[in-house]
Amino acid sequence: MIKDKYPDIEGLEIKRPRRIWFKVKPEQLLEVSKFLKDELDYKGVSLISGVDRRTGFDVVYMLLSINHDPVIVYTVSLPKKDPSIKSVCSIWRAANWYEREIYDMFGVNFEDHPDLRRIMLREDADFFPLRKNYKLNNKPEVWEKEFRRDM
Amino acid sequence: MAEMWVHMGPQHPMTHGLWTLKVKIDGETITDAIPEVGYLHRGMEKIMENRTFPQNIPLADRLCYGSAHSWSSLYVFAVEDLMGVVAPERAQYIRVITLEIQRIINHLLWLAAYAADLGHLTMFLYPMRERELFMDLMQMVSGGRLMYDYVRIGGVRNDLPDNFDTECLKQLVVLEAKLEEYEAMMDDNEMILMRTMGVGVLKADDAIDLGVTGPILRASGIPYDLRRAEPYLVYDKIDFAVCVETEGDCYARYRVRMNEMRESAAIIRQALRDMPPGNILAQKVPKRAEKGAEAFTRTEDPRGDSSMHLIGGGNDQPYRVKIKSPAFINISASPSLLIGNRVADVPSIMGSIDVCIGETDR
Repeated sequence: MIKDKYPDIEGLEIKRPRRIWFKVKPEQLLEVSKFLKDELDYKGVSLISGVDRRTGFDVVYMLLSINHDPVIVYTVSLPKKDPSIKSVCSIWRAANWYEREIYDMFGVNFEDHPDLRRIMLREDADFFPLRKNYKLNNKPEVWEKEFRRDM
Repeated sequence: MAEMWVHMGPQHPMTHGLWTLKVKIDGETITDAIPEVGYLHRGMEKIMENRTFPQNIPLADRLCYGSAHSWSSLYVFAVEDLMGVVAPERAQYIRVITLEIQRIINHLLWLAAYAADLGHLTMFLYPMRERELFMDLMQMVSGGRLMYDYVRIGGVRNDLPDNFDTECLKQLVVLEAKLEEYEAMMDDNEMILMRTMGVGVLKADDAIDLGVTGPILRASGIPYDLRRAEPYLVYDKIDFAVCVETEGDCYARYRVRMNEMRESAAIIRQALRDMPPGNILAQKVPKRAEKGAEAFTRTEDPRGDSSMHLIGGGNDQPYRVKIKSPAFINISASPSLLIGNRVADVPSIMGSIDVCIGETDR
């Protein structure tokens, strides 16, 4: 059904029972999301997750429906430099905090997000911890200076 | 009257952990609310990416002190999904039993804390007393009382002890008798009813749109339980009811949790009866996950739908672990519950959500 409406969608497959995976282009995101919500009754967001693929970033949307079984999982790939994507907050209110978390952890910008602030880290953090180029023993310089000063 | 912002938390009896709730009040009425989390952020997801698959099991336990077992189980289910391992049937039954004991432990802890939130301090003691019995059961099985580290990829660590089923059945009888006692203590208490009935109402449509899950969603009249909607383990072979209430207020959430404990007891009885003999660990468990393999696994945690998005990196470490915590999204929905209620109702409403900051901030 998704294939009928959007023939240029790539990688549509059912890898496991109850999971439908496919890829969506960034410019199609809002249109496809609205279609899934209004026509196919996917009224809830189960999870929005981010992945650093080293060559770029993926934002992965998992949608659930109270009435149907399968979970729809679709991926939007973004470039490494200045990743930016439209927010889906206007479609599902549940997306708000998930998008804030991806912004916090990966530095992906969500356009038209009502309240795009850091959620876990401090506002003055200048790094994105879940990016692969951030190593575990990295210490944020600003905080180190502050720490030494307080000592 | 002039509006003002009141900061509740991070150190406030209502918060049950470190987080802040900013409420905008007009007189006594709440007109807006902003929850702030992140005080307990430990970078769990990043740490997990830098450890091997088995090393992460005890770490997943540390996500929540109230229901540690359900988190390590979820992690193990996701890894099994990723690697294509299937646990033997006996191990699946053991997992069902321990998960339901964990659900009872969590709900009893919630009941004790919630009653104390509402000012019913005597009620704090009794569920905590019965919770000890179930923690003793988990100690018999795993050796731990809060952090169990019991599940393994492809099965469980050790078999149930010999006298486990008699002990377990004994405690279930005690629980069912005590549940009636709790209900008498809660439902005959005018103060509890006044502070819960009609307070913090969430409508079904809003609940779905805001993404809330678990007892809160079911209290709003939607019979959505992943144990039934997407059966994992052997839940499809077990007969149990999905507990639903229609009012959507704090009292309905309390009713859902009380009934869920009864259903959990029924599930444990059936699982103990039907449990087959056999192996408890799969014969062959791979150490590595295929590169680019993806798994999205969902389970019904005591707090709601907890999921994990796992990506394999071709070696013995996960490439990406994304943890979806039900408490995280339930807190994000709290403004919708709070607006229109009184400031004095904040502990009642936030307590009924069953907040756990360990899993929220990760």
